[in-house]
Amino acid sequence: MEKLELTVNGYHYQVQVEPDETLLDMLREQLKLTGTKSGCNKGECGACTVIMNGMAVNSCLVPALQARHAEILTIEGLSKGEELHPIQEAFLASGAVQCGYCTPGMILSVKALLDNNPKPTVAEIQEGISGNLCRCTGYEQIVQAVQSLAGKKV
Amino acid sequence: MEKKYWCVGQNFRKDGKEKVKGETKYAGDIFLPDMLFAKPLLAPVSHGRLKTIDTSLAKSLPGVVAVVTAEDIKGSNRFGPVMQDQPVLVGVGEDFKFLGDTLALVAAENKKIAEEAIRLIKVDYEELPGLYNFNEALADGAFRLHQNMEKNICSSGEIVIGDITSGFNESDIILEEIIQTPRQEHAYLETEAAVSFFDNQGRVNLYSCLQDPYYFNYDIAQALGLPANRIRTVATTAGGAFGGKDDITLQAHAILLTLVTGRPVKMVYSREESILIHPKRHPSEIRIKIGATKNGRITAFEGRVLIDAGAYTGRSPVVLTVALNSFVGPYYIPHIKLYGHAVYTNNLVAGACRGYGQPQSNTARELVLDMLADRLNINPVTLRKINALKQGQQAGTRLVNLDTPPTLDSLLDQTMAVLEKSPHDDTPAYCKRGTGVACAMPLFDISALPSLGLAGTGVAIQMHPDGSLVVYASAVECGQGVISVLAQIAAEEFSVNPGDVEVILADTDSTPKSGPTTASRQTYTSGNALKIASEHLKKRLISFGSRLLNVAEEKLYFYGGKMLVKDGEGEVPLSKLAKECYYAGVNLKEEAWFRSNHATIGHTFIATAADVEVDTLTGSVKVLKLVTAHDIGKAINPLAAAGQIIGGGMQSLGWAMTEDLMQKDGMVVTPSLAEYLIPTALDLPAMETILMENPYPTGPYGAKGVGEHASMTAAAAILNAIYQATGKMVTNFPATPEKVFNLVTGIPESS
Ligand code: FES
Ligand code: FES
Repeated sequence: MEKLELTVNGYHYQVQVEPDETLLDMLREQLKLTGTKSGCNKGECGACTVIMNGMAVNSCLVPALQARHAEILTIEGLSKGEELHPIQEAFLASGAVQCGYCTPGMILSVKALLDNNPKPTVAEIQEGISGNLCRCTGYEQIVQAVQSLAGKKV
Repeated sequence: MEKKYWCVGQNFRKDGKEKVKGETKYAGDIFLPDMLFAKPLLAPVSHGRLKTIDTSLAKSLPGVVAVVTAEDIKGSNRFGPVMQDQPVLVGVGEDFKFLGDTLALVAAENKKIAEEAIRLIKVDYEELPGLYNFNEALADGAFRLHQNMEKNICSSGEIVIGDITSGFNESDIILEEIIQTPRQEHAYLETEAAVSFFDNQGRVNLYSCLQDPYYFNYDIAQALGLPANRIRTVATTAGGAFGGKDDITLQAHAILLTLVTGRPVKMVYSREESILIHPKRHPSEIRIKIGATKNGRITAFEGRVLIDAGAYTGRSPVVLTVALNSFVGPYYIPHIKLYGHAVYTNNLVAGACRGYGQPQSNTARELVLDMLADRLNINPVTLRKINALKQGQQAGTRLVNLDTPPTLDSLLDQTMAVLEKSPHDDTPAYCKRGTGVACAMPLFDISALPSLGLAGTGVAIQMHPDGSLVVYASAVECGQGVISVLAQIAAEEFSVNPGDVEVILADTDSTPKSGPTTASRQTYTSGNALKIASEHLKKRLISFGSRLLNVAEEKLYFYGGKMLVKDGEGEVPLSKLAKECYYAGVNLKEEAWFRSNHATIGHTFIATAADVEVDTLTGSVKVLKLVTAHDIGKAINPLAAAGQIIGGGMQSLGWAMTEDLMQKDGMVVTPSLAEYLIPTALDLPAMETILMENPYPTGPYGAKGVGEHASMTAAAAILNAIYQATGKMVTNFPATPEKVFNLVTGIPESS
């Protein structure tokens, strides 16, 4: 067990982690932030995507210890209370949510994309979310949601 | 004039907000105090006899609370929706029959210990020869996988209409083809998960992603030797299901471990376990012999369907029945002979997968139709129109009665019009472009088939003393939007805001039995049941209201949260009305039962057109556009309906292009999402969806089913487009670049 300090969704945490514990397991099992999902535990699906120091990462591939002093944003930190984040609003308006299991990771990948490139082309959107599998929507309505945000403040 | 609705026909997502906030609790998100984590030990090879199993070392590992084998099971230790032939745990002296069979379970204080303990279980077994394809399984003298069956035939079916010999005699051209379809993995993002625990009445509670709480409840109960009322089953919001969560997997295991340990138990499959264990889309081999006159009239259709059931019966008999009954699809063919077998092998168990056998038989037929059109030198769209079913004609199944005029012609026209509107002209010289079409007459609510017990559906609705409404239904929300649709229907009936209606789903303690959430049936069946229940409740409110307001019942109606009197002679808000009822002791909960017509089942029509570009240098295919027109009856929630068509279309695109859960001698060649490739956003073509509203006489507000239907046409449209582009038909898809390259260049396929 090693001690680890980090910031998640603006809150400071101190946790004890095993050397082989992933950031995903730490978030879900210790902090009970279950909005971050596991779909494969091997970097193949993107369901576990969180934003770490401004970059979208697969948290199942990140050893928790690597997050020492990191700033992490999970889906729970995106909206302000009852008020949804514009990406969340856009997902709902476009029908981009079905089972919702890919949704937290997908939304965070979209956030990372738009933070770097506020007006992505369709091809750039497709590229930007290509690491996030969604089995329900077929992506069309997700791409539409992102398009509807182009140039808006997110 | 079109009927005006209060909220039917609008877009509404009841579960949307929680989902975008990551607040929805899926089964794996449940944490309970004192909870144990469980892991399964799976079969070491595809076929073998379990000689001994030694769990002592595993039991002695600190942190291990229980290691359980078949000996610990008090019930039949067998489950299955049609035949109870699949073991919960394979016992010593018994045979394991496929890689997904479970031999033992560990429950430990944490995941890591459970995984370690699994490795400490010592298994001694004798490997047995296996049956891995149709030829081996059907060969004379092949050993029998199930001793109670005469051969390795799990079930057979036959449909004969007309006289096939005279049908072929009337034809000018006869074509014979064999189409092979791959095993498809559902690949829902959420793997199977279950949590079980004792409540304070000593009953086991199960929370899990599953598609039919009552079926799971009773089948697990008998397998484990409990009365069904000692188990409560709650279907959690599923992270995708598509039929793959219609059968028991780890749920019986979690309950067993709670019975043994007395503690809450959580079990979550790894992706690799999920891929091995839950039933897949059946791989199939479909032989079609088709005869037509020179001018394109199809006179005879003979087809044989073989589906690989895998090691246990599962739902294969029903899948075969549905495959055969949808084989001829939306066409009128006077002479048909259809037959087929579901065949036992030592491959992965197959079962329900979006479309239930219809994608296989429909795709095969549609590919052969394009080859026939080619031989006849007739445009493929024209060929389909020439043979499209008309009202009054006999469909290729006795299960369908054409109660509304078929809409295939119009769907085809609309699809082609959209496809032709936007030609891309930048195809490089080394690429070939092609467009293809495919049609189907999807069957829905097939659970109404006699062989499925004529599944009926109960739904209840209750009005609280403040006028607020709660709907109770056993439908399962797996992303398709049933929770929203039920809220909309209740809101429509009472003229209230759908956001104010609460919907309780899938809990055997509180929601009426409703049969499975499969077969594109819940909007239709639960929707109808809810309408009936609502009507009863409204009737009671109206009779009470008429006394309260002292007006005739006929003058009362619901609008905007109130009961109003026609001609504006008075009103009472539902909140007040309900409160008066409460004090007057009037029952404000109603439950109703809906069961489809016994003789026939629901049907609709769909057409898909695809535009593809084939790179002749590499064999890679890019799907540029997919247009689907669907006769939906009435779209209660158009955005969700379109989402089903687009999502189903993409799953079908994956099946056509890349997805093949391949097995070689029983081993799985594509064991994880790194090898088994489902479409990513990069594979997304331009998508267009046309919802044609053609109200269905028995549907709620005219609605029909929709969930599975695009999976019956999209793959075929894409493969036909490749055929139109290259002149070569991929008869054993997926159309991988290697296969397409070899076809285009004429290189024979390596084995
Ligand atoms: S769970 Fe991390 S990529 Fe799948
Ligand atoms: S909405 Fe189900 S996986 Fe994306």
